[in-house]
Amino acid sequence: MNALRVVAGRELLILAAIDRLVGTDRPAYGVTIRDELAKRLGRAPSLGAIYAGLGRLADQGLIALSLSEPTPVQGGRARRLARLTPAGRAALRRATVGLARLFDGLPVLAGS
Amino acid sequence: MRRRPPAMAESLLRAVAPPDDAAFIAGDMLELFTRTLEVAGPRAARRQYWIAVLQALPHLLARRFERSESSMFVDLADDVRFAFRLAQRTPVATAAILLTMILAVASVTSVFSVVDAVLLRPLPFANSERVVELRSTYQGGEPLTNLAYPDLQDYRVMVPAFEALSAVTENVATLTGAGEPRQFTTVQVDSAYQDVMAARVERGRFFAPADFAVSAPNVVVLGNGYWRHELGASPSVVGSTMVLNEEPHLVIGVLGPSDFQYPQPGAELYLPLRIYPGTMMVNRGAMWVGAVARLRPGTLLASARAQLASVAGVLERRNPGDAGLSATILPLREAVGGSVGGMMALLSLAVGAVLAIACLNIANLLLGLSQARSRELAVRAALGGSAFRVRRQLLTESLVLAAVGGGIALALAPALTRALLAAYPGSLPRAAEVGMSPRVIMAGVTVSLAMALFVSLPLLRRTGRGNVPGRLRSGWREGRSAAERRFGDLLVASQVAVSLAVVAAAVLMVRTVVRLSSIDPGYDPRGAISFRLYASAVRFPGSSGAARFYDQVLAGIRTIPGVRGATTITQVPFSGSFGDVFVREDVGDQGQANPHTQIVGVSAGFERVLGLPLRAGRSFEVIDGADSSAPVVVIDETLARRAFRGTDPVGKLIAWQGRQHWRVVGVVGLSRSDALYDEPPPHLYFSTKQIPRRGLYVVVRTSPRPQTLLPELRAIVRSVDPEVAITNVETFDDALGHSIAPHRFRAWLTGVMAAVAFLLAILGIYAVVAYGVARQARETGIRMALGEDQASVRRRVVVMALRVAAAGVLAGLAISLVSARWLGAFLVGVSPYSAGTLAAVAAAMLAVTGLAAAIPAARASRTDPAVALRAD
Repeated sequence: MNALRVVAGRELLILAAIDRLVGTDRPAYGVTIRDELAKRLGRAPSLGAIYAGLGRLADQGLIALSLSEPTPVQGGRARRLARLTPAGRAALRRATVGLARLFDGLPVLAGS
Repeated sequence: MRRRPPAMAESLLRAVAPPDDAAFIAGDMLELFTRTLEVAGPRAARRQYWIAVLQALPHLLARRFERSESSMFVDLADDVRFAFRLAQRTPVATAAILLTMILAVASVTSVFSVVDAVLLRPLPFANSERVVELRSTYQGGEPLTNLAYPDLQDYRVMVPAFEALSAVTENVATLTGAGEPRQFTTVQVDSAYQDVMAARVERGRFFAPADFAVSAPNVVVLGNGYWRHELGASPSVVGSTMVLNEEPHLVIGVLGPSDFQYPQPGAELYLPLRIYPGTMMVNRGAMWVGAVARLRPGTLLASARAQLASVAGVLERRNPGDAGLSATILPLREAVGGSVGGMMALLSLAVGAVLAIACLNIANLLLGLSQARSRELAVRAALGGSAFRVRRQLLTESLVLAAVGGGIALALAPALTRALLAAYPGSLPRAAEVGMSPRVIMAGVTVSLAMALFVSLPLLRRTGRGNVPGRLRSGWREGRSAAERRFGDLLVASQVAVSLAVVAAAVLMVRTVVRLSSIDPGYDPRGAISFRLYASAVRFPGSSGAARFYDQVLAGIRTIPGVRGATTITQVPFSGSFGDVFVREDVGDQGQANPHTQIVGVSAGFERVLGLPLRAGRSFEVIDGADSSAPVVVIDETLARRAFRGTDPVGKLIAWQGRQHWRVVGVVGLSRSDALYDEPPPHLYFSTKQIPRRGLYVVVRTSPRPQTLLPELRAIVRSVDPEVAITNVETFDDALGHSIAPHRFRAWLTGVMAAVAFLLAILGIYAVVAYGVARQARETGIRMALGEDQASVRRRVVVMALRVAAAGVLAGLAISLVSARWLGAFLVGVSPYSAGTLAAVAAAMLAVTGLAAAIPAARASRTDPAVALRAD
């Protein structure tokens, strides 16, 4: 049933940010997700909110979490990396298509 | 500035974050910190780190909660469901536990609601903790409630700790001109009273200095309750007139609503206290007035007390009339509740005992139940249930019991409180404030929870111990370990101990009541009724007028069929007393050694009305009232014995009340007028025709039940003066009953508690013995197979029970002896160390233990060895 769920709100933002980071040289984890959102939206949720969102998405099977290799510096640490699962990809697609349909031709956009 | 994130913020983050995420989120935070550090410097970086952590907290907490729901809360629901299923499986035991719990929690809650309102809660007006009552002390003795007015005036000026001080005194007034004449308690106060009691004026004004002038017009201020309930909150009351004691009083104001009336509940007519120069009011040494004061903010009670004592010392040196006098203060809350402190302590102790016994009993029952579940618990452990998980299950079961039992108890508590207040003898100060306040509900909930925790402690201690496979195999038939058995025995012995102490106390209280009821008061209480009248100074002026009023009333009453006699009397039994000294003229003034006696005014034939035998001489006769008659008195045999030892008092002359040559004309039987248990006090009777009084009681002796004649009595009084109020109507039987009512109440209370304690103890003994017998069925079977006969089996079981009970009895006797001194305050004519009572109660306890053990013992003796050994 989870696969048919429409994600929305902060979770949707996080899913989108993870998808954007795919194919860049930056892996998707707390800080990069926050940076990506800050860059695109002008403001970003707190790290705590992002972690809570990641936890919820993982509970629903929309993302998978894995450990990175430790960073190659002294005292370097492992990061918890996120990637979309097929269900997550489907949910993101469904949500964005839905939103695009919803926003298409909004008078407020035409007027600006 | 350090180049590290703030340590405190970091540990806060790690503490709050879900354990799996903590390391990663801390790492990410550190990464952000390092970045900000390079861009904006350490200060900004640290500040942003704090902000980020604080922003993260709600999200992390919410996340944690979501997660835990999936394990902890689901399990909890399971535990609760299981607890209910278990309760259905053992309905009798569960009902017993619930009943015990309800009984204990309801009684604790309702007693606490009373004690809290009467003793603990601050009085219901602004800054009431700063208000104190003044008490005088004489030569370091017990504080007396009254002071001398000139001393009070000096305290008002000379003690800096007092912000305001008001004299307070009570009186009674008859209200006429508004339907039936009625009597009210009035309070005479200073203008400072308003400041001391923080009394708001709702309408009109309070007293001004001019109202206190001796010649000022009469004014009255009404309490809010009186105005609301008696006058229907009439808006036009200020400016109207009330007739009090036949004098019109102008109503000048109404006080704001208040739950508290001082000096006593229901005193709601305030009059200005007027001081008449040249009367005893202004004598130092005439202790007639009470006082309340408000302390300045921040003043300690001790320092105010010290200031007052030093001022009193100055006054004592300055005025010879103040020799030996000093003064002290008491917080008003204690002064008001103090008179019932002993009774409240007894109540608290009684419910404490019930609570203790209930806890022990429930713990015992739960322990028994859990042993029957030994196999189930073992299965849980074998299937991987951690000790923690099993303990939580057990605790949940107790908590469910506590929630159900506590809930029912809290619902029942108000009714129980009402019953307690109704049964309480006399009036309880601040009774109007008693109710289910949040504090009381909190107390009830706390007691329930504490009980749940306490009763499951032995269980919790036990779980997770012992070998699981062994318990699995043998199930509940396995013998208990020595430690378990000792613990069960300890519970039962404690129960026996507490019950014995409570039962012994109850027996002593009941013996007190029996003893008081059997004391001869001297007079005959059957068929006698009394009421109080006040002769109008307008319609019956002068002292002869008062005498004429009572003559007419008595003459009228004597014509009523069924009336056997009637007399006036200055005080009826238990209505207070008046004492004085006199001088025997044949031996002269003896100074300190002059005889002291109770003084009672009566009319002719009083001894027949009261039922006192005439021992010598004669009583008053109608002729004694005549203007020219010689002054005569009658004494009772107690006074004859004390003051006229060895001589015939009849014909002797005494000087009394500034008058010479009172002749003793007769001696009547003794009477205990004020307290049944005391040595009878001496009495001197004078005739109310020779010293007339306006306010007097009338005693009527009747052949039918005296209450049935009340309408006729009222009609007679009204025919003499339609404006006079009949008050304080009471039969002598009731007055006697009321005088021992506190004792009856205590006996009743401890009796109920004792019955409960006794019953629970017997149940406890029975349960433990029956349970032990069932557990040892195999052992018994083996013994019987080896040749033990039935009688010996029975004996062994009973002796085992008796041994436990005997330990409890010894402990209970110790408790009784330790508390005896305190208990003595509630006993009359019965020693708290009464060996007979204690021995009888101890014997009864052991006998009942034997009986309670006999049933399971008989069952044990019928064990069929073959069956017992085959089982399993």
